[in-house]
Amino acid sequence: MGDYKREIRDTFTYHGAGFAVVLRRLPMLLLGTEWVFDVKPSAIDRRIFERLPRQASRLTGYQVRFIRIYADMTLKAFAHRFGVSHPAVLKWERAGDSMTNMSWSTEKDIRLFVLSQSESSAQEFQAFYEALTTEANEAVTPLEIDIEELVGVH
Amino acid sequence: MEWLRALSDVESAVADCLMRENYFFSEHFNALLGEYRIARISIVRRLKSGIHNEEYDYSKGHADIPCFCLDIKATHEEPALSLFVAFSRETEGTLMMWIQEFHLKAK
Repeated sequence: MGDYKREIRDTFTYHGAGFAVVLRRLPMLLLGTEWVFDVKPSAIDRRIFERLPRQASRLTGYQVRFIRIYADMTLKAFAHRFGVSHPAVLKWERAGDSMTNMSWSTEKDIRLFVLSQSESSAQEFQAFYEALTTEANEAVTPLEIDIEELVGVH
Repeated sequence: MEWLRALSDVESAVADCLMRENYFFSEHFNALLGEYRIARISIVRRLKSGIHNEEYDYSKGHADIPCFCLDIKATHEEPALSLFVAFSRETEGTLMMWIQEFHLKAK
């Protein structure tokens, strides 16, 4: 794009996933009087989706909802995939910014499902599976993503 | 302006911008997503599946920048929205859509 004013924000709280994600080094572009992201929103969402299974803390309700929506699954389809009822999925999602009440084994399954949707090698998948033997911690901390590597993705 | 004719069919213009991902969204839109806890992808998918153009108004925003109010239907999971977008043309002729803000529609 042409001669627009640009800047890099050291930190920016992104809400496009339906929960707060701290983006580091986000390129911004001034259009008229509005600052807008200089990165494709789908690239940001894709990065969030890929990072969620590796999150150190347990998944929150809004994060589970994002995973389901990103995977383009209805409540029923998601429930069927993880062997629960759809009211159970609703209950997880209604936990909002708090961790859900799902068991760690179910959450591991969801994390592995997300990983299976990305381009991971069998080796990466196995290493990730082994890493999941350690349960994620229960302290909810905001997801942080360094976005600099997405610069120039339009 | 010639390029504005492309907007005589705003539904096609929206679909084209979404398909090519030729759109930006404002910080205000980002803040609203946070306030209502709505995922961007949910709005984009509903925009792709159909809109109703409520308003056609060149007078909003900057001079000669057409703005539209688009109605997005509710789903069983998400509320109905009125979405405000503007269009501009890049120097190389690309049509860009700016997603500016939305309001929840009263039931």
